Amino acid sequence: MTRLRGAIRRRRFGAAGRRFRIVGGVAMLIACAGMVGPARAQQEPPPQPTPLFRAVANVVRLDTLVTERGKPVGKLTADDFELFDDGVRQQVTAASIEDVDIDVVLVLDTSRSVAGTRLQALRDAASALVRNLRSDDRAGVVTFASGVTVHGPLTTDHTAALRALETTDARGATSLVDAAWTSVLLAHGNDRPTLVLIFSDGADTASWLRASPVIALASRANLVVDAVVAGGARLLRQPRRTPPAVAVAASANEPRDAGVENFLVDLTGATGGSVIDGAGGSRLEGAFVAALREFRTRYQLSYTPTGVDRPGWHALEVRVRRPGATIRARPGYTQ
Amino acid sequence: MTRRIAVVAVLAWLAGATATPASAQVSVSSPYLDIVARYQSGDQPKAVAEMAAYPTSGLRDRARKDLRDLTCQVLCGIADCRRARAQKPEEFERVLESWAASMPAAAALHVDTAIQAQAEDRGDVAEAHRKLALELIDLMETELAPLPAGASPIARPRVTDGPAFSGPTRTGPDPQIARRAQASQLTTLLSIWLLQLRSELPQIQAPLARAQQRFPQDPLVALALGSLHEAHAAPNALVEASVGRQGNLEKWRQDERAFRLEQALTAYRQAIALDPTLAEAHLRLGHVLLLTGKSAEADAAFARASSETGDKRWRYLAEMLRADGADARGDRAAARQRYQTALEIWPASQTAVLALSRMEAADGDWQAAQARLARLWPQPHCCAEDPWWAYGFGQAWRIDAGLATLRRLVVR
Repeated sequence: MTRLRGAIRRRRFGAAGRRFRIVGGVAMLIACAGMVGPARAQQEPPPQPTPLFRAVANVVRLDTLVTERGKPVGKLTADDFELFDDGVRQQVTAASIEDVDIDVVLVLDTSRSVAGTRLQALRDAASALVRNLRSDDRAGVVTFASGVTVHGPLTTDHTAALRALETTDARGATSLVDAAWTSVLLAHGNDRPTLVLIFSDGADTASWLRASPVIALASRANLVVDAVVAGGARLLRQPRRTPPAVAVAASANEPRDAGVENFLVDLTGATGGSVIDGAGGSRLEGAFVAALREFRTRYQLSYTPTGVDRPGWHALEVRVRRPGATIRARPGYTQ
Repeated sequence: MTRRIAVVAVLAWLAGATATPASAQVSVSSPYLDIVARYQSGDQPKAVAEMAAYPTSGLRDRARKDLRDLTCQVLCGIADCRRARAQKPEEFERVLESWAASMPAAAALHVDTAIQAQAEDRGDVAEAHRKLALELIDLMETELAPLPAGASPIARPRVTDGPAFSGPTRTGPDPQIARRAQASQLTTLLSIWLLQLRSELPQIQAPLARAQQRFPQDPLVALALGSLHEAHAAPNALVEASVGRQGNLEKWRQDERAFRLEQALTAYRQAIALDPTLAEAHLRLGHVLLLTGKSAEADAAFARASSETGDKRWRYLAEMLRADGADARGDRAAARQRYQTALEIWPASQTAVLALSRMEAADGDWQAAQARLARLWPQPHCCAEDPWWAYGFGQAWRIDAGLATLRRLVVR
């Protein structure tokens, strides 16, 4: 009976015990990313946070994708760009992400619906992605089912980053919004260009957090969120008629479960990323590698806001002196 | 499953189940019935393992034959139960009584096997046994045990009340009848909870409708109904349900959501009316009220949920949801305090930590928000789940305890 109970409990709640045992990697991730002090056990006093924004204080970064007829445009310089912050033109510097070290956070759905061949396809896709990283790029893995698990620090040891996936089984519900919050919050303030790549094959069924605060947080973080969807999640790409709320605070007018059906569309859109169709799981590997390659073709535009010194939401507009080119970047930030 | 008729001797079940001794005493045996007998004898893990080992293909037909037709044939010499009923009414009555005694155990065995198979990720096996369990309940509740004209229905005790009820049956007082009734009821509920665990909403409808008919006074049935409507009202479920529909889908989803939430409220209120001490019903009522924007009413329901139970699960969830309501009303201090209280009640909570990190981020304190996540450092031997993770699975969290009760009920 004990075994049965244990088995049922795992079935119902996912591998919660294992999850909690390894979720301490959150602290390691933070520490290794240079965001906060070293992790401590819960019995110890809470860790004292260290400053997040060091060199990047007052600097706005914008990871920008420029394409022409669907293909990335290379060899652009700062002179090719025009950037407007609340309508006021800014002086920008531009660097190709191709030339710098990056961080990639894989946020992977390991809920029950992924069990079987799709889980193996997911492992293969993650492996393929890290094989395409350079030696000084860092990778981190976050998985989610009923709860969220951070599998160790951002690391240049890419094999180690993937090791946890080999023993991860697919069980439990889907806390997509909670996982996105955890990943984006941990990456917030990161100095390197950061790609958060989310995979999900189903609807959110267990998150506590509302969708809108996560979208709001992502819109002000210097990172790009791409999402690869498969299975039932492909349904959840509803055209949006009204813009999503962008407050990190809760709203009395917003039900707890508002916005989850548009979540990935809104989240990726808020960071200048996109939703990629991974089909039934058969195209995951290609989709993961394509997302990484596309991220590398982006330009990192940086500027110190001038003439727009006011708190609140700042709308951003980027133009490029290249007829026919299309630009994808986050639509704004909050000061 | 090869049938074998072992001994013509004493119909053991009959002796214990009827006041009037049978004139013709017959024993029926088959591998299938041997497993059922083992289950009733208390060696339930072995019985479940044996049942799970059977190929599921054709199981239904074989089991039905063994359980029903075989007995008719042996006792009445007629394979067709209808003919047996007409031609040998007295023998048939005794057959009915014997099966009324054994079929709950057979049904319990199948639902037990289904749950075990589900725990082992053998979904097809689980589904086959779940269906069979319900078929046996259907058979027992309808075809094999019709009430005589004018007879009062059996007063079913609540599952939680224990086997206190006795008789009468058509053949006399029967101390086992309450246990049988409870086993039937609990098997049905376990089948529904198993479907909740699998998140198979469409399949829940039929067994739930039958449960409503048969056990209208059971608050757990009302609770399951409320959970079904609540699940249907989720945005993602509405998107899936609207696939293929024509017209204004957004309006359809809004209307459907409002309808489902209203139905959920009705069901939860019914559950509370049947059992005012049912903390889960108060909590779920509060959650739906929160979804419908009735924050003050929701808060009262959460408070009632807390006051009705010493179970940390519900007190924790009540605090979390009260915090969420306070936050939505703009009372951030109260929200923060309640999240902290929730964390004290359930120290392993992940959702409370996430909620507090979100509040800190909303205050612009990114450092604290990030540091909050660092507090999720693992604790040795910690494996406690967060009760919130189970909320969306309806009453599936009751499976362990329900199964233990059922096993006790069917032991002879």
